[in-house]
Amino acid sequence: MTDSAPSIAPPAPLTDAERAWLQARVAALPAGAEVHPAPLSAGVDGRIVLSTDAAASALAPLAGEGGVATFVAEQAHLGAGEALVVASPGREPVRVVLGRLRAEDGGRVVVETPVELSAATAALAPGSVVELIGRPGRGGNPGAAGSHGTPRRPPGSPGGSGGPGGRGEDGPGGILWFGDIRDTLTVIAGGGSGGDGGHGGPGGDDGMESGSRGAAGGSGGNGGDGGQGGTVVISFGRLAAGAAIHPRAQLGAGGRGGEPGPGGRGSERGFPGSPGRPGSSGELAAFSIRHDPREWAS
Amino acid sequence: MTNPDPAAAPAAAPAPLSDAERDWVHARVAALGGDAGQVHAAPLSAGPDGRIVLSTDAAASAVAPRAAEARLSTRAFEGAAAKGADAAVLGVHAIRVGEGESLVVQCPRGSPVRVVAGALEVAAGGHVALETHAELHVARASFAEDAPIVLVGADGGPGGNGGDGSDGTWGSPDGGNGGDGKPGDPGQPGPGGSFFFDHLSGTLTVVAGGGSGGSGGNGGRGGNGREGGRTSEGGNAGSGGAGGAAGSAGDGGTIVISFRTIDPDATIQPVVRVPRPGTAGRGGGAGHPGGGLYPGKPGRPGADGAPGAEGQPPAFKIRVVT
Repeated sequence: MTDSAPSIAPPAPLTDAERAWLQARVAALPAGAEVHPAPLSAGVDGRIVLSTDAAASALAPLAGEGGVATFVAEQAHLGAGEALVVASPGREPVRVVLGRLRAEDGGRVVVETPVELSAATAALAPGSVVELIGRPGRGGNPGAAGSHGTPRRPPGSPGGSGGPGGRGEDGPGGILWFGDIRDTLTVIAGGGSGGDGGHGGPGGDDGMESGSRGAAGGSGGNGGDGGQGGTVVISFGRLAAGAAIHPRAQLGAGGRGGEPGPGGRGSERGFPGSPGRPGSSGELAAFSIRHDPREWAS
Repeated sequence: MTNPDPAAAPAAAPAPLSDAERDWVHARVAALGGDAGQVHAAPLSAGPDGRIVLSTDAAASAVAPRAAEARLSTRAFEGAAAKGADAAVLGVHAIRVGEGESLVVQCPRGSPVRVVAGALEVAAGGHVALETHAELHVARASFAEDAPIVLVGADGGPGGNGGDGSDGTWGSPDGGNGGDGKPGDPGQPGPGGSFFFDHLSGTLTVVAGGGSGGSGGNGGRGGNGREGGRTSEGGNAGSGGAGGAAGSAGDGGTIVISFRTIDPDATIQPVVRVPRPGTAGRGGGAGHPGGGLYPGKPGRPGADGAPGAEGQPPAFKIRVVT
């Protein structure tokens, strides 16, 4: 998950201002807390994982204010196609504190849990993104096919209903604080899409050569609702000349309703099931962008 | 609509412009191709109808865009020209939008408009409605909470329903087909706009999005065939008309928010207005065939209209200018 061999050019050391800001943050942590001194860079899988699951994490979490798992490192650098993943299996909030966050075009910060991400400097190339998007819901299971009738035991049985699609996960939301934003900070936030409903199972055939109508098809499962977008607060101490913030709300779309199962064969085709209803879309993410120079100046 | 009389300006009018702000307004108007000598000096505030209208239509506008109007008229005949280069420029020293009031920027032709103001204050419960692509250039902008700038496209209108088919008669036993429903109008795209604030304070809320699509009209019912007798054939039923297609939702447009300096604690809140495609028109039902010894043929129900497409969300870009 993390490797000492950077995939991009070695980063410059922190500036005095970045280091002073970082040390001030560390001073607020319990005694003995230390900053991870080496730049974080992605390993062969292209990922840097910061997780409360120590087995998966590049850094061991520190216990921060309020017991919130806190990760502190001097720098994180993301090359094209690389990702910094912030995760927590239980979706507990986490804090990430960096002296500098740098991402090249195609680099991504993927936030999977509520987060407070702060960095003295964020140098984010156009084409890099910070994503706070919920996971999509699972697709519903297809309905079981109805059993076919036989001349001895007509008729066929109806098809089973498709399972409902899962609800999309809510966007994790979070607070992003950057002392100095350079280049283009693009933040995409939204709920996960709802899963599609499962298809209804086909009705069983009648089984009699001159029998009656085939069995009815199963109903399609309802689509899952999309997740809510969450709230994202972007605070900055300074926006460098030419720098830009691009907030993008992504809709957690409702899943599609499952297709109805076809009726079984017989002297007449069985009735198809009814289609599943589509899920509802979630609310869009709410962005709030604030100028907050005090912490940067402190 | 507007009270340009300084004597009647409310006590809550913006603080007088500093010399630097006044110079900024004149320089910006000139840089945008306007006439700095025509900058409206008195503070603008809403009249009894609660609106301040800035328009390229001089009859509707609080500030007459005389030079700009002339240019627009000429260019309207010339046809295409660069969007920004075509814009009318309206310069004012100060604008105050109070609670329940609105500043409306519009152009009947849909051309872009540039508004330059030394000070713009929008109180809680007031709003700025940009009905055409606009640039706002403001030296000192202050927005209370719940005082948004709104850039939302107009909703599409509904399509008309198809007429019902006529029932069969003695001389003409077949039922007529129902008429097709008309498609819903598409939602208009959000006008988009660019804001340049030399200094920004308060809570800037920008609501943007396309208009919702209009619903398609329902197809008309097919006419019934005339009943047949013991010897005469029943009339054929008419088919239902097709439902009208739903109007697509409009795209959200692009909004660029630029500032040179910003107050500590100032907040920018981009809000997406989600437009919905219209509802597709339902196909009309088939008429009933005329009965009798030789019944008529049944009609077919009309097909439902096609669904409308979703619009693209607006794109917000926030940047610092030097």
